Amino acid sequence: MADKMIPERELRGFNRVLHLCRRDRDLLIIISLPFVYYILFKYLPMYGVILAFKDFAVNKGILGSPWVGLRWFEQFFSSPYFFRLIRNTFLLSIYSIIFSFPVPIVFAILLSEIRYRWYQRVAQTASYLPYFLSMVVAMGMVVNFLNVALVRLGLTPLDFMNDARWFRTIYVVSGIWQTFGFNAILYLAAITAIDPQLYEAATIDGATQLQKIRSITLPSIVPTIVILLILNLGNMLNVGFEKIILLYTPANYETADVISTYVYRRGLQENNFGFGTAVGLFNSVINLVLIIVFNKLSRRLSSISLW
Amino acid sequence: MLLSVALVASATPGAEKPTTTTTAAAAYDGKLPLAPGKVTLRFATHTGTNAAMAPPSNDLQVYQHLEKITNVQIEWEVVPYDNYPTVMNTRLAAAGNLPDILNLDRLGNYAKLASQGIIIPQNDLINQYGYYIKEFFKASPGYKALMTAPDGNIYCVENTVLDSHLSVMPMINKYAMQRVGMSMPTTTDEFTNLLKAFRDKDINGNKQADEVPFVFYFKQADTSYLLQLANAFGLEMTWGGGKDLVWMFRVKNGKIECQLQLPEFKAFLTWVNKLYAENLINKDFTTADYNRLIEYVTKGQAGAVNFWSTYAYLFGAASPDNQGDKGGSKVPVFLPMTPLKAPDGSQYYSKRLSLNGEGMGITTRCSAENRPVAMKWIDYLFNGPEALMTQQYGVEGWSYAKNADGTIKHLAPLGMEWSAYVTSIGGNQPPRAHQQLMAIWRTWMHQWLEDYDGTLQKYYKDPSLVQIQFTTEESDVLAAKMPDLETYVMENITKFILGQTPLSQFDAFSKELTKRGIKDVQKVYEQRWKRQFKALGK
Repeated sequence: MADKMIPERELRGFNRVLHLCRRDRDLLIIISLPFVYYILFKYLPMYGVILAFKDFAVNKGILGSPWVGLRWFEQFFSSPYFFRLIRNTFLLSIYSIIFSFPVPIVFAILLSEIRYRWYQRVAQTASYLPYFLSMVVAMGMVVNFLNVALVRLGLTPLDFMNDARWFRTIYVVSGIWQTFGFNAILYLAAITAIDPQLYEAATIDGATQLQKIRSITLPSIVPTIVILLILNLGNMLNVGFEKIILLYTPANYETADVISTYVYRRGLQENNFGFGTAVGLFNSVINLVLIIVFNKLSRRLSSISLW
Repeated sequence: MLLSVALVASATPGAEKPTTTTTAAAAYDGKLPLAPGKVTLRFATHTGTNAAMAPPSNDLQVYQHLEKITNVQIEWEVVPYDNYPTVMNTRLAAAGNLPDILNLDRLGNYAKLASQGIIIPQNDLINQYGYYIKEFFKASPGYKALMTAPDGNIYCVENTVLDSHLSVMPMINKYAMQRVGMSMPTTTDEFTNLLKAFRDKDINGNKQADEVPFVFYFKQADTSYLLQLANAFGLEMTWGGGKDLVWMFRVKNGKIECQLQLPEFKAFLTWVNKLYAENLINKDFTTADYNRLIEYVTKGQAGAVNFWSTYAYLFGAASPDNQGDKGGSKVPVFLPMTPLKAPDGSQYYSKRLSLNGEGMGITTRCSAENRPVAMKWIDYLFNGPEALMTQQYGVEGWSYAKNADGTIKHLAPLGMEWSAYVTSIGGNQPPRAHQQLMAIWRTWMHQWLEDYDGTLQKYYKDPSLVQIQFTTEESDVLAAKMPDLETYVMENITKFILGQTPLSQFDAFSKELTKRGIKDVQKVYEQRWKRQFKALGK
């Protein structure tokens, strides 16, 4: 065969592509499923984004509905609640990241230091149980049992659902309770991958347990931490919608009403899909900008980045 | 009188079939079956508010029986009540896969749904095939006017609610009242004092100060249990919710006004704020629900509840004061309160606005040859005497029999309670009809409650604004203005009550409402009121 004689680097054009495909066909098959998934569920639906500029009428379809330009955006930006929604969305995200992001890291490190295997397993399983509770059940527990617990502890019950000042605390703390165990799994995996020789060498050099954590464990999982942080920051405006719907009342709208709950009330409940899409699009654009900015920042500061 | 419905006050509705006067041989006369051969229709609806009721399904005898007698097979699509508008609106937006018949409850403006090609006008179909509906319209032309959209079309015949027997009002535990040695209050001061006595005198006798004298809840689209109390200040805010925020407005002396900006409303908020500050109402009124109210009652903590008066017997059944009567049907515990006197001496309950928004639309997907059958089926299911009996009492011969004197005999398998049995086969449904049968209402209203409500009849007052249809232009104005205004109003009412905003800020609240465009909304309600005036003469 003639082509067998030609070295790979000298192949050009279609032949080269064909050759590479043949060489990597197993990998290509594996990647094809996620690829189809992204095309079908992430890229094709983007065509619906034009709804943001249209007054959608069912019988006219997405393309046939009249063009209204920036009407929905104007309505959203001129809403008296615009700044409150942005503020609440950002603050809830920032507080969540500041307070809940470090918890699984600390927890994973602590778990990995435990000598007793069975105790480690029990602790880990118990910690991620709340993650598998349905949101309705978990929030029902927060709403109904917190005060029961306070009374049992001899404290005065709090009227926390009616007080806007409590909402962010409730949101963040319940979020930590629900997710820290599950989120620790990724860090635990990263810790397991650290070469044990490093620890052995450190032990011989007389390093204490804390020194080992500081100089070996933490630096080794920094890439994982940074990537998860960037991903989290990129999702900044996507706060937990179901959770807020379950927890908010007119008494705590002041701190609890966020972009997504507002879209639900105005877009879905009022049957105004154009408006809903417009606000959703706004949300996504901000998220995209954030993820690009943070990725750049991270690349400059630590040379770790998503792309 | 506008709201008077022709009631067929007989336990044997089968015998009450109106005699037909039509002469044309081909005219439909309401006779069964509705179609010569089997016809299959798809029907999308919700489960209804009563969780104890079995949702419609062809596995239940009631629906099997209806299918047998009508020759119409229904493919049910049933969505939970609370999610219905969200689920259905999303599906309608995707446009495909419409059912033949669609429950229009809370789906928005009918004319708009029609202009979007979802439902069709029913005027001609009703003329030809709406046998019982026409009888009903003849008996109560006011209703026909109410159901006609501003463009002259009837898109659905909404279910009606009886004039009386259904209201939201405080119900007071009569044993608790005896224990504190007080009688039925007639003014807000007397009511407040009664609640104070409930709070201080340990009405459940557990030697703990755990009393929560008066319980209710207040939520978006569920505002009646609080705002009904504003009657005592001369306002009428009982009805309206969901898409129609009619409770914000009223007509007085021939002029429409926004009640939220009146000094009476400030007085009302001041009073409720005082009740809250003095621990006379439940602190969790923003998050509670029916089950939470029942919990307060079960523990004997609550001396009074504000809810549907038809539920009085259920609260009674849950109360520790119940004397062994599980259904709460024989021994009244919670008595409906006489309305409190307003400062001007008036004393009233607002009549329910007569239409409950639940109407069945025929969709554009329903084929031309099936449309007459769909119309006949809607007409029959909600009005046909046998259909109504079946939905309430179950299948004749199985769960009930007619005695010779016309009364109803209950039948149930040995050892099974009749009501539970009827529910299990798909019966026991709340009356959802155009012309409603008193006999059916009686199973929902226990005799003592009915008698009690009878004595309250003289206090029932027609609302000044009736919830008729908006034009598409009007509903566009509302869709743009209302969500933000509603958020603002709900938030501020709550904060005034909780004391988080002092009532000295009320004028600022009122000014802010004007700034945010409440007058534009008021104008819409005024236009609609003019149409109401034209249709009903008041």
